[in-house]
Amino acid sequence: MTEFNLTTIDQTARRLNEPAWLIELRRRSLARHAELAWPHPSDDIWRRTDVRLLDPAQGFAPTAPELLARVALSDAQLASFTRPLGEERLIVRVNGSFLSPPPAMDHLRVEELGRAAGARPEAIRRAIEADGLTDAEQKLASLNLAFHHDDVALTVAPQAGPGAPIRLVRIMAVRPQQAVFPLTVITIGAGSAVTLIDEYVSVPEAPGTGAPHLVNGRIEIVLEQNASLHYVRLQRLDLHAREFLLQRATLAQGTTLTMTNINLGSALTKAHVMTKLVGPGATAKLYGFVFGHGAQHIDQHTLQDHRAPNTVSDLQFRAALQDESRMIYTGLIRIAKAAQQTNAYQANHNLLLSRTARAETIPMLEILADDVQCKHGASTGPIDEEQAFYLMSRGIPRERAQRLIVMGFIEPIVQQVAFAPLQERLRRELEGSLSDGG
Amino acid sequence: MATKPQVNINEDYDRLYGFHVPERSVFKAEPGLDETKVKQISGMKGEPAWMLEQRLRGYRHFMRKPMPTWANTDLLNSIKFDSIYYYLKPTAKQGESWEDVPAEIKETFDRLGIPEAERKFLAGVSAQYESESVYHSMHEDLQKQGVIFLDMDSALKEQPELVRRYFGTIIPPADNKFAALNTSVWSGGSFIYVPKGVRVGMPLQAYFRINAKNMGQFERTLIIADEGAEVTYIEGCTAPTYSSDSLHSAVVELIALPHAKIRYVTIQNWSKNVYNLVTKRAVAHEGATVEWLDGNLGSKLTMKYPGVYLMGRGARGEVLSVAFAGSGQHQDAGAKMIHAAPDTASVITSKSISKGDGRTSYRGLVKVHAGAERAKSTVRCDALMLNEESRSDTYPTMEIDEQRVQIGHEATVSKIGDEQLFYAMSRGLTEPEAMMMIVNGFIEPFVKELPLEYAVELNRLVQLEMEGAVG
Repeated sequence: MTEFNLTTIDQTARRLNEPAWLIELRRRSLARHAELAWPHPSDDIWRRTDVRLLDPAQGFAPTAPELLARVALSDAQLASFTRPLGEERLIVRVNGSFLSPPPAMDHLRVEELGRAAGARPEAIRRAIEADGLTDAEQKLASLNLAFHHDDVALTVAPQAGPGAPIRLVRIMAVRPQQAVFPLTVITIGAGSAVTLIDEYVSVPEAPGTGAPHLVNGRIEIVLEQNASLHYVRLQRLDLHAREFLLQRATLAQGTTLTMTNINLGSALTKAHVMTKLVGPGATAKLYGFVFGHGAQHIDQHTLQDHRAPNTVSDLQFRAALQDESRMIYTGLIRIAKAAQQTNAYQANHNLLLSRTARAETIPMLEILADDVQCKHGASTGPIDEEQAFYLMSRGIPRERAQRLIVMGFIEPIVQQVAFAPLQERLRRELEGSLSDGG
Repeated sequence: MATKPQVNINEDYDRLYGFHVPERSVFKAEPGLDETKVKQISGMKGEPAWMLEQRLRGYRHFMRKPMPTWANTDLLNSIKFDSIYYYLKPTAKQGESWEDVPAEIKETFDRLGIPEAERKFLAGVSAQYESESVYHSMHEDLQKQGVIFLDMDSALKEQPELVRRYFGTIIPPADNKFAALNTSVWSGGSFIYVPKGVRVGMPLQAYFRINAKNMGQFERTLIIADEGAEVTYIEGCTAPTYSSDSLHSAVVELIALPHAKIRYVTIQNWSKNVYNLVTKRAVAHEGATVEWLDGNLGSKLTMKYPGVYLMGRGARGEVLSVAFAGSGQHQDAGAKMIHAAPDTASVITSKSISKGDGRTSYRGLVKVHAGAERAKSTVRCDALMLNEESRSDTYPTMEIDEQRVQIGHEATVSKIGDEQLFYAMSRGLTEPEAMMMIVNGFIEPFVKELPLEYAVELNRLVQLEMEGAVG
C-alpha cells in the first residue's frame, strides 16, 4: 500500500515533471508536517472539530498514479457536472487532467502548477509559501504542499478586460479511503478585471460502502495592483467527503475582491478563508453560505487581516441548518497598527430549521489601530413566526411559507454571485433541497 | 487649539489612594504556600473540620491546575506565587463601632471616606483591610428583619449551617486555578443572607484595601437572596502603590432563589501593579434576576467574567460593564450567560475604553442548552480607542443547542469621531472638554445605573484617567 512518505512525493513530482525547487518544497513540507503538533483542543479556532478525522494517516491512502487513469464516471454524470450555465468559458478537469486541452484565450493561461513553477518560480513560490499561517494551519496545509497532485495555475495577464466569466470545474472520482490534494493558484495581473467560478465535485466510485474520502485543498488568490476579481467557490463534494480547505487571498494596492463561498456538500468541513489586505485602498467583500443538512459538520473560520491603511472589508456568512447539521463559525478581524482609516465589518447569521440543528458562533476583533470603524454582528434563531404567519394569512401553506422565508434569507448571498445564470441555478438547487416542514 | 496637558496618571492615584500607613499586623504568615500554611490559617481562625478539608482540596487543585492559556499569558506566568504573603491579620479583634478600630486603619478608611458614606447612604458597611474585616455595622431595622450581613469569617462562626449549605456550591474548589487558590487561603469577604420576601431598600457596602506589599488578598463573598427577596451589594477596591506587585483573587458566589433579585456592583480601582484575577458567578432560580454592574479602572491585569447560570424558568441575567485601560493596563473582562431553562433572558452590555498603550478585551460566552426554549440573549460590546498605541479585542462565543431562541451579538470599535468633536467644539467647548463629554456619553448606560455617590466617583475617576488623552 502506498503511504504518505517521500516515495509518494517523488513519484508524484516525477509524473508532473516539476522543477527541483518545487520538489524540495514538497519534501520540506512533509518534514514540517511531521514536526508540528496537532492543534490543541484549548485553541478556540480548533476545539469544536475533531482534527484527527482530517489526518490522512488514520487509514487513508494517497492518490496513486494508476488510480488517476481510471475515470469511473458515466457520460451522463460528466454531462450533468459540466452543462454550461450560459456564456461562460468552461475549463474541465477530471482526476487531475484537463478533459480537453485548456483553451487558448487572450490574457488567460491555465496550466499545471509544475509548468508555472518552472516558468515563473518567484511568483508561484510567493503565492504558496506559508507566511502568516499559524502552526495549527500549517499542520494540515503542509500536507497539501507535500502531496498536491491535482494542481492548477490560472493566470490572467495585466490590463485584461472583463470578458465572459471563467468557470473551472474540478471533478474528482475517488475510491473509498482515498485522499486527494487539489491546489489552485490564481493570479490576476495589474489592472485586470475577471469573474471566476471555481467548482469542486467529488464522486465516490463505490458510494454504497459509506467509506469516507479526504479532500485537503488549497486555494491561493493573488490580486496585483488595481486588479478586480469576482470569485465564486462552489463546493459540491460528496456527502462522504471530509474536507480541509485553506483559501487565501492577497490584495495589493487598489484591488477589489468580491468572493462568495457556497458550501453544499461534504460530511465534515474545516475551512479557513483568509484575506490579507496588504496594499492601501484594497477592498474585500466576502460572502459565504452554508446549507447544512443530514449530519453535516461545517466548521468555518474567516480572517480579515488588515495590514495597510484605507482598506475596507465587508464579510457576511449565512447558514441555514436543517436536520442534525452543525455549524461552527469563528471569524477574526485583525487590524494592524499601520492600517489606519480602515473600515471592517463582519456578520454571521444562522437560521435553525430543525430542533436538532446546532450553531456556534465566535466573531472576534483584534484592533491595534485607533482611527478605524470596525463592527460585527451575529444572530442565531429559528424562522420568524410573524413572517410565517403573515405569509400564511395570505393563503400560502406553511411549508411553502417556510421555504420562501429561507430563500429570502439566502438571497442576499446569492445576489453577490456576479453571473446571473449561476444565480438562477443556485436558487433552483437550494429550493429543491429544502425539505418540507423545516 | 486647546493646550495639551501632560499628566502622569499614577501621580493622581498616589495622592488620592496610593498612601500607605506602616503595617502593624498581629500575625503575618511567611510568604509562599504549602499544606502546613493552609492548616495554620484554618487553625488560627478556629475553623470547623469541613472548612479545613475544603481548603486542602482547594490547595491540591491549585497546585495541579494549569495557568489559563488566554488573556495575557506573559503577565500570568510572571506571577511569583512563592513571594506572596497569603495571610495577614491586621488587628486582634473586630471593632463593633468606628471608635474601636485602631487609629492607623481608621486613618486609612477616613481617607477613603467610608464612615461618611455609611452615615449618608448605606445600610451596612464592611471594610476589609489586608485579609480580615475590621469594621462592620448594619442598621437595626435590617437586623430585625432577619437580614444577615457579616464578614465571611464571622459568618462561618455565627451561621455555620447556612455557610456550609451554600459555600463553594456555585464555584467549586476545582473550578479554575485562581478559584482553587482562593478556596485554600480565603480570608474575609462578605456574607449576606436576605430572608424570604425581605427587600433591602438601601445598598449594602463593603470596601477592600490592600496595604502591605507583596500581599495577596483572597476575599470570599457569598450572597443568598431567599424567595422573593431583594438586595443590592456594592464593593469598592483600592491598594497603595508599591513597586512590587500584589495579587487579588476573590471568589464571589450569588444565589438568587425563586423570584429573588440581586444586584452586585463593583468599582475596581486597584493600583496599577495589582493582578486582579477573580471568579464571580451567580445562580438564578425560577423568576429570579441577577445583575452584575462591573466597573474596571485599576489593576495591571484584570481577568473577570461575571456569570449567571439561569437555572429556572423565566430567570433573568444582566451584566453591564465599563472597562478603562490606560498605559500598561490590560482589562480582560467579559461575561458568561448560561441558559439552562425555558423563557430565560440575558443582556450583556460592555463598554470599554483604551488609552495610551492600554488594552481592553471583551471575552464572553452565551450558552443555550437544549430545552431552554424561548431563551433570549442580547450582547452588545462597544469599544473606544483614544490613541494610536491602544488595542481593543472582542472574543465572544455563542453556543446554541436549542432552536427556539433569539440570540444576537453586536460589537463596534472606533475612535472618537472627528465630526462629533468638531460639533462639540463649534459650540465653544475645548478639545479636552469635548472628548470628556463624548466619553461620558459613551459610558452613560453604566453610570446611570449606579447609586448617585458612585456615579459621581466614577465620573471623577474617568476624568482623571482622561487627562492627557488629547494629542
